[in-house]
Amino acid sequence: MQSDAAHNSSLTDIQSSLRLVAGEEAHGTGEDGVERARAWLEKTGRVNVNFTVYEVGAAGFLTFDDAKGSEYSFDLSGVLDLDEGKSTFYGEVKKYSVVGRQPDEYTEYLAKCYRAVVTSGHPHHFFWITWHPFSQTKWTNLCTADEIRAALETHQAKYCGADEIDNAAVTALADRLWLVVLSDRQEALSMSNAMLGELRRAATVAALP
Amino acid sequence: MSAVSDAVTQALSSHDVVGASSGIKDAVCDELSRADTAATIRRTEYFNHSYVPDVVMNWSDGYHREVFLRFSSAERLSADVDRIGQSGPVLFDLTIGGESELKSAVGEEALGRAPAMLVTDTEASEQVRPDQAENMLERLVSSNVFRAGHGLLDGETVEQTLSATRSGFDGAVAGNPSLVRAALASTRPIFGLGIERRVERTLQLLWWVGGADEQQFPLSLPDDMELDADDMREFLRMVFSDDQPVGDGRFWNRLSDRLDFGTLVSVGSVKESENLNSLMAAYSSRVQLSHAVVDLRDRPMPPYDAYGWELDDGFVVLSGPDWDCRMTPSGNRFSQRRDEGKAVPLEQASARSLDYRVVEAEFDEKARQVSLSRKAAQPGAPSQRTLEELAEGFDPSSQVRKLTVVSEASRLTVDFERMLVGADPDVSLRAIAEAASVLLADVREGDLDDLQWFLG
Repeated sequence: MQSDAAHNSSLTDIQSSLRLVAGEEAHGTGEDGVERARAWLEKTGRVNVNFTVYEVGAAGFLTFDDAKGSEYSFDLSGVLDLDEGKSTFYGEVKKYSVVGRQPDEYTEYLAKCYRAVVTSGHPHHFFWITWHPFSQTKWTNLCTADEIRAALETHQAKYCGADEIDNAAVTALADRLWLVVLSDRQEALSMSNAMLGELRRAATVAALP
Repeated sequence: MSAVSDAVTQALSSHDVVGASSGIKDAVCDELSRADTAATIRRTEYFNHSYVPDVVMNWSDGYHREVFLRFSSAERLSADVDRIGQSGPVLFDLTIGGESELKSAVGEEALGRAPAMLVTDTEASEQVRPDQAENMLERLVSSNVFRAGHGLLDGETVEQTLSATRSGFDGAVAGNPSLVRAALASTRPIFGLGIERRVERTLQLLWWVGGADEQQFPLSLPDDMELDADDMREFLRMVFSDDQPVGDGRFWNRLSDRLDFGTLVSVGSVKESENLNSLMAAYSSRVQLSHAVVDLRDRPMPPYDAYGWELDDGFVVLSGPDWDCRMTPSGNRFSQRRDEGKAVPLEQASARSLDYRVVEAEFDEKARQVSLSRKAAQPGAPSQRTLEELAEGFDPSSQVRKLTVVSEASRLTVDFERMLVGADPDVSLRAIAEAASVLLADVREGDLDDLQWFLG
């Protein structure tokens, strides 16, 4: 049995390595972008981001295995509260000022989303949050089943392996993809801290028994 | 590793976001309950949210404080200062195993923008255990960490602070100014003026009841040197809630020297304890009172636990084997009081009042009132008689409504219908307790001797 110190050390190593892996996967986003995306999402009142990749110990919730046994991660995860009910969601954040590698990254992201759904068995939602649009020529198709299938064909070995593509899962996933473009000015057009304080009071002092 | 750290680690090993959030929050709520036993812990449906807390702590006086759980992201903690810092919440960091970035993540400049906010972690909280405090000063400090603490409070700071307060208690009782100064210096950065003042006044009172020269106390708040009734009241609450009895009789004598009845009964409800009995042993002989009332118990107390003192709703209560005797300086406290039973029969009243000389008696509905002359009513006058002598010729079953008797010290009016003894002038607490218990209660054989022994 491990001593507390050994246990802590071991846990710290795991947390650090997970964070490193996730950090590598999140290359190009930055903690600032993830935190700003989280703040914007939560100000909608529909989202509670439970964990981000930059929070120590949280990486395990954001990580999945691909078909080859390697890990990949999303930037954030939490609970989405829609009129039809609550769902878990994952998000990828791109705090980019240019298009960058987003067309290719987005294609692989779709394959990752599919893999996360079929391996977990849960109907998660997925957010791609960027500060710069990309692939404008096919912008309206980015969240379609055809685009997901195309992504899986491109990355079949890594995210499907020998399995056939589950068309029902693809169709369902297309309905749960969210593509959000933020801008610095748009972030300013959100509720002030004082207004959020009022909402907080409504959600706590007034609401709790 | 602490219980909360274990639970968080276990929850983090899951891949179920919702289940993990719930498990972590369970562990944190348990931890907060241990760290502040006076608080009610309420959980929200949010977890690690930007502006809605995970937990709200409530206290019985209506005060509440929000607790936000965090995983020590420097970027996030800095944003939190501006986003939620103004409401003075607790940011509770759950990072485990030395990974905490509290000190580096939240600099003094950031904390300065939200001076009421407390940033702490599990290493700190696991040391905050008011119910395991070694003395009342440590309990005062530890029980206020989550209610009133602010700034950055990590495990090392908590350890140093609680150690200093433990030593400060001993230093104050022993008249050691350097230990007192160290205790004050350790608590000052954590609390606002309110708690700092309570810590200092507690040390000041300990200094005083410990027997040291009052003028030599190392005051740190020179603008507010006077101990007032609130200070004494808070001090007494701590003394009475302390499980550890103070056996030094000089402590209680010095404390009772400074005590007045109004302050004592305003402490609030205090059940019988060794410390309260010790205080009353020193204090009871100094108190003059006018009114007492006796309530018979539904179930007699066992003889080995026959007498004890309590404080309840503005009264000093002497708990006897068959009754509670409530004493107060003002008869107004009993203005609405009516006993449920009838006035006692003459025969019974006569037996109880054998040790008193009767001045005036008022009997049943036929208004057969017997009065002695005022001249003859002077204490010690030879013409006074016992109620038995006075009632010769009356039916022994007649009801006695009111009886005025004289003792060596005072004139006592015993209102049987209202179950009330009033003394004029005021008499000692001991005398009125004895009169009330004898005249109004069914005292068992031998109890009177026990009562007199208990009252000294």
